[in-house]
Amino acid sequence: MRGRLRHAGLNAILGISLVGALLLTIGVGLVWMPYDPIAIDLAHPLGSPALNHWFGTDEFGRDVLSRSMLGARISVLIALATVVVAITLGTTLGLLAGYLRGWTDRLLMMGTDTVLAFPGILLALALIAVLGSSNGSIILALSTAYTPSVVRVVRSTVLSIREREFIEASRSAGDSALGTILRHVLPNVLPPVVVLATSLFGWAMLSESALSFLGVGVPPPAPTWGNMLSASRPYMDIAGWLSIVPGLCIAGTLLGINLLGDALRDWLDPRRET
Amino acid sequence: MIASAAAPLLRFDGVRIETSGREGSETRTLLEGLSFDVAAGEFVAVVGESGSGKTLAARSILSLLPPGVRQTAGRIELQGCDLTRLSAPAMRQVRGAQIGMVFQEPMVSLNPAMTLGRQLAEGMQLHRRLPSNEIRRQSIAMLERVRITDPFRCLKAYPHEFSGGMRQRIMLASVLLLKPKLLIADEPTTALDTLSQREVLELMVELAHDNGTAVLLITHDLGLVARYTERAIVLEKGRLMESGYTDQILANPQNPYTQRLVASLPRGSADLVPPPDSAPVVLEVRKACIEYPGRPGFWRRAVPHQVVHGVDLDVRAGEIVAIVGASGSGKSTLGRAILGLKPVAAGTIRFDGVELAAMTAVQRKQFRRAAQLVFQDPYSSLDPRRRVRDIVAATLRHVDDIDAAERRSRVQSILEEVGLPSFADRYPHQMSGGQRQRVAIARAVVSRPRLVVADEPVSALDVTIQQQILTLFQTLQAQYGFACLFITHDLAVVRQIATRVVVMSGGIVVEEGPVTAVFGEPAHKYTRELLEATPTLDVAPLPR
Repeated sequence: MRGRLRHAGLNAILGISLVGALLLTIGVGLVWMPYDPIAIDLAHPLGSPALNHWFGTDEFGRDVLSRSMLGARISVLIALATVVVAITLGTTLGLLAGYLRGWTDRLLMMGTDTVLAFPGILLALALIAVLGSSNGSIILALSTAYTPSVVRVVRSTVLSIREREFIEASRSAGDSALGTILRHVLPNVLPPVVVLATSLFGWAMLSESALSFLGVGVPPPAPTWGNMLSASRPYMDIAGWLSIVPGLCIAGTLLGINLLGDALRDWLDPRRET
Repeated sequence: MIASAAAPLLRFDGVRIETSGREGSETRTLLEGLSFDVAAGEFVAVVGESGSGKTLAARSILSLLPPGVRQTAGRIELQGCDLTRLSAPAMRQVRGAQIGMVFQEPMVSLNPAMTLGRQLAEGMQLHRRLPSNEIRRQSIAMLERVRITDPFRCLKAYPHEFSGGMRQRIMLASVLLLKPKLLIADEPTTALDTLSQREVLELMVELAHDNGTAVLLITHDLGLVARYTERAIVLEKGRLMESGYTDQILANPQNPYTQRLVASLPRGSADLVPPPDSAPVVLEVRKACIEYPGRPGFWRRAVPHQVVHGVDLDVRAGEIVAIVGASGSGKSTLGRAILGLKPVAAGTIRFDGVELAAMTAVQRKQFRRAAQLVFQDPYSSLDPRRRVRDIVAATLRHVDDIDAAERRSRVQSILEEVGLPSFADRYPHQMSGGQRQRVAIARAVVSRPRLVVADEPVSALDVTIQQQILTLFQTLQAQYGFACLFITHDLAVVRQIATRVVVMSGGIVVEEGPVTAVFGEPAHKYTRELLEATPTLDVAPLPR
């Protein structure tokens, strides 16, 4: 048992360190970057990592480190906003559908299933085509694509919780439906939602790079890890650092967020070992 | 009978079972040096409360211990052959063929995705290698023996088409088809109501007797032990407390624990006084019908399914009325409707003369405070994410005329009264079942209610704990004088706690009156059956 606890502790520490490093990178990037991330220097394209350019330069001679720092800000902003919107909206709708049942449930599920029937990326493409390509429309498109899965997870959890007797106890104590939902249903729905949120964060980041790859993502020259990765593809054999740097950034961030999510879920659980 | 010279069928010799903790963690002994014998064809009870190790003992016979638990010493012999040394393939030959097992929960022990015919045939194909028409013939004969009405249809049917009692009978059939030498029945009827329990157990006795099968009946119910077994062994916390002939153990227990166990059976108490006729009627139910919504079809509207058909019921202030009935008799549904948690389809329910359906918001608020509920399952009735303090205070949340300080002191004083003075900061998972049920009672009583509906509040608890909770309940009732509707299927509990009893069957009241009168001279056939099926210590074992 103790071994497992120490193991969980290590995971939490690693998660916090990775997320901390990410926030630090974003923070430093706000006040200082080694070079202008969008300044083109055609004299030095595809430069290897060196003392003056730690992570090398890309095909237009732009500094990869500076671009990664700015990219962190944009990528994380988009993924975070997407997750917050999808989780908030999805949890609310899921709680209503699962707790109230009846017509509310049927209508909400019809809508959710309709959205789920489209491949997420196709839906996002269509929405961006209508709304135009901007950070705001990417967030809107991605959260629309992800909300239904949150609704599904929350609703099914609520369905099992609402049959438990403490819900009836709450009603017989005179709580309103809203009071019961907030006091007794929501806290018990949180663990799966936290886990879902962390994995959605990863998906959002990947989808954003997929959209960039298809040319409807964050418009150039602004860097995101996703569009840096897709732009590096033609040069993978002669300038590997162009793919490795944003790739590592994405992998490290996702690992950190997932570990932090697991730790958060354990901390929220009163049944954790004390 | 036991003194025969031949080797016993089953022999436990110094069996120890421990948790096999990983490195660094301590091992706990769950069963310590258990020794006993079972002769061929004998009925032996293993009695104990939760945590006594009785189920582990049974599972160790078939090497079916849960992960993390292993047997570290002793021998388990079947006809002189040490089962603990058998290889896994050799053990598989023993399971089913020589030793059969019936589990507690008939709802989950049959595979819902397989027809019963295939499940019955499984063991025979594995161990007997009979041609399929012979398997079919034997299956049908066995289903007839366990009184399944249409065995041909049953072979093609799936488990969900049968009730709990029928499933347990089918389970019994599938195990006894192989004519094992030993049948292990682990709380086989705990999940069933009194009448189904009797049916299953009497079939088990009959079939085992015919096949010469010995039975190891694992149970916590001393009434069943008295009625169905010849010898008993009593376990507590992994140790053997007492063993011997059932009638002697129950009539004259030697061990202090066994004495406590026998003493904690609910017994009728003569000093219950019904409230005076002048006591006002708190609850008045008239011709109440309650229905559940049916499932709507694709084109078809949902047809509601009525479970309570026109019930009349009065409860006076300070009176304890018991409602008894089998599962599905509508007793719990009625209890929910009385608390306004379920609407009535027809008829009226009045509380202090005011009809529930016609209450104003203010009246409803007062009603919520004055009428409380205690649930059966203390594991699902407490929110796992709230502390005891908040759980108990929840009842007072909508009471305006007391302030936060008063609320805290009320919660603390009620926790002291239920015997949990230092539990305010605990979470439900840090408490035992009995402690949780005390919290549930504290939650119901803290608002000084006029009526408490208790829905099987002790049936999920061990016998000794059950007695403590009943006593606590009676003490609180005497102190606060609330009226109580006590829903139960256990007639012994009714005798101890109630002055008046209402017998329900199939959604109607078949009989009601003072407990002594109804139980002494039952007028209705159903009440008589119920009384007969209830095992008590006074019943002599069946002749064998």
